[in-house]
Amino acid sequence: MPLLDIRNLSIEFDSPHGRIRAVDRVNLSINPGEILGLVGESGSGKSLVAKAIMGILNDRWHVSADRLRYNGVDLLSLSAKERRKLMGREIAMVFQEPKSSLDPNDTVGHQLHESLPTDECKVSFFQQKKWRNERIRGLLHQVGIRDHERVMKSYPHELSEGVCQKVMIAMTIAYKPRLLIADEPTTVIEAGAQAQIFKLFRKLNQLNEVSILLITHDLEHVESWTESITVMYCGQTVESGLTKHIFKQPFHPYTMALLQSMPHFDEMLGHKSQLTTLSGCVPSLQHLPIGCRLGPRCPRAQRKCVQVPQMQKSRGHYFSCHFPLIDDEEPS
Amino acid sequence: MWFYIVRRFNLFVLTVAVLYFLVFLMLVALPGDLATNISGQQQASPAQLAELTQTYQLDKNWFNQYISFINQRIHGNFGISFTTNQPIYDEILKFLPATIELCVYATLVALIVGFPLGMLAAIQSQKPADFMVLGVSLIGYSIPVFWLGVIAIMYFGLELQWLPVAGRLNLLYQIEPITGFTLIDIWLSNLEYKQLAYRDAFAHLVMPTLTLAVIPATMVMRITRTAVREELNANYIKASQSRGLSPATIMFRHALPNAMQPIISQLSLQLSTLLTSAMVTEVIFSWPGIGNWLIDAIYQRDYPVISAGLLICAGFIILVSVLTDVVLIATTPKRRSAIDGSS
Repeated sequence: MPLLDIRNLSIEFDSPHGRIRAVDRVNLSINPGEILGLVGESGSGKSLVAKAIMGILNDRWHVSADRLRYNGVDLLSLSAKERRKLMGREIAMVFQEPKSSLDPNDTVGHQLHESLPTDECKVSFFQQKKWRNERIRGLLHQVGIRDHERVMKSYPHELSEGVCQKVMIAMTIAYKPRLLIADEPTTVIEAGAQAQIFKLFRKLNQLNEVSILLITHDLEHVESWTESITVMYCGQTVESGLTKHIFKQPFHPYTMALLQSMPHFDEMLGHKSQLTTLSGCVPSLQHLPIGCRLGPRCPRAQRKCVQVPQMQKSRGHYFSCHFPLIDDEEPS
Repeated sequence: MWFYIVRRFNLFVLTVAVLYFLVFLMLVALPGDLATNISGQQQASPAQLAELTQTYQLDKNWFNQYISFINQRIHGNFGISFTTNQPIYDEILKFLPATIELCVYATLVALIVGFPLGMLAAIQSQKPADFMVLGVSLIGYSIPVFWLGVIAIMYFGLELQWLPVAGRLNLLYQIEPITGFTLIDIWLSNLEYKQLAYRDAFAHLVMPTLTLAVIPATMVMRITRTAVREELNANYIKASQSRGLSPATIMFRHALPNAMQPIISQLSLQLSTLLTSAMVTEVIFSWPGIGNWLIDAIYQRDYPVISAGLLICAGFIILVSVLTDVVLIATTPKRRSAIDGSS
């Protein structure tokens, strides 16, 4: 049974032009111990999906789903309190801009202290402070922060983005979650620290059996760190499957275009040649095309594409396209 | 930290110097002799005139005059009033506590009413409670103080006769003014009927305080609402929600402390509004405070008193804004750091 199972998740909001569906029937499932990459351009609704799972979207967003289950529990039918309990302990989230995700007015040490599991504290009142400090020190060491004294006393603005992100991760692992949602965890972090963060994720995944939903637009990270991926375009899932299969043979034209936009230096790129991209740009939310949202930009689009394609399956590889990039001889 | 406090202090000194210069210019420009305007001595005898020339260095150039003007004022010599011939300094000491008392109580009421309502509106954003608070604050903000005061006097004072319409205390109670604050003076006095005196003082306070509190309360409401709402949309609130912290912890440990900074800085800017409406309120309720005194002085063309009132009120506002700055620097970790604190 998958740990997180999402079927037809839609996220809508009311605008002056009527109700707009920012995320359209997205499917996602994560098995225990898996690292799943959720890939798409900025604005494709990846972060919305993550926030919908966490239940931290504003009131103006309307979330509906056929199934939004975590470990067999329907998240949408939980009360706010039950959900909060689940959030801190079972599902954790790491955000895009670590520095702004920490309270600027509070020391890092105190914020770490707040996210410690207090019910695990079995010592008397007078030893609690010692216990907490030891726990915090342990957590910080676990994420690779050596000078815990200084970090604990600092305010977020005194630390670098990389250290802040590590602190965020330390907070999330305080409760030993089973699912970690990482929403573009390294976009604002310098290159050296990026690899550290990913290694940390890998370590958590291997040692603590944490499943990770890695949201990113960086295909190179996806290729090297994830086992399977789901590709989103404009709020629709276009393709999902094992990472190596998709990177070897994508079925959806959008995935193909994404992969082609990655420079491969072994293929002898011509000097100053242009990288392949799709023509046009991502449509704005007010002017979403009907049917397959890639339609107007798709090189293979035909009349049939004004209807939303059904999810199809071919050897453990899901895609939604009327005209997939499969050799015609092969039965799809 | 100390560096910034010293810097703010310098700013304070400079601003006050400019303020003194403007007041000095005003005294020079006003009709009449500078010696009369600056000291309040009317029909001075030749001996007095010589003494005044000596004290204010009126025979020297304008810069010396300005410096000695500052010197005299700082040492508490505000001259004497045209109308009462009393030293203005003594009059200030007599009237200022009444104003401070009124303003402090009104501010307290405004905070007690405005702050929770603003928070409520921010939490219930875009819901009926929010619209209610917004509507009430808009109505309160639009009601002119003088009209509200007069209506209150007409209804509660004259028609229902619940509350006294003027003054601070009934003449029956002979309270020795020690501090100038009625409630403290009653406490310090050895009256046998303190309870009655307290009740009377409160009855006198109710209408002016509430009238004066209306506008600050609506401002506190709106400022709190905006600030808290902004903080609740911040990233770190989302992050702490995702960590499963309880709404109360998020509100009181994270959102509020962060919202306090914009609230404090905005409120300190609104202090001048409070002071102006306090003056109007004092006139309406015949409250023997500095505003009443100053407006009387304006009617009487009592130049030394006008200049003294200007110095006191403007100086108070400058002082408070500098203190707010210091408080903000002390409570905002980010501003304490070297780069960001320089602004």
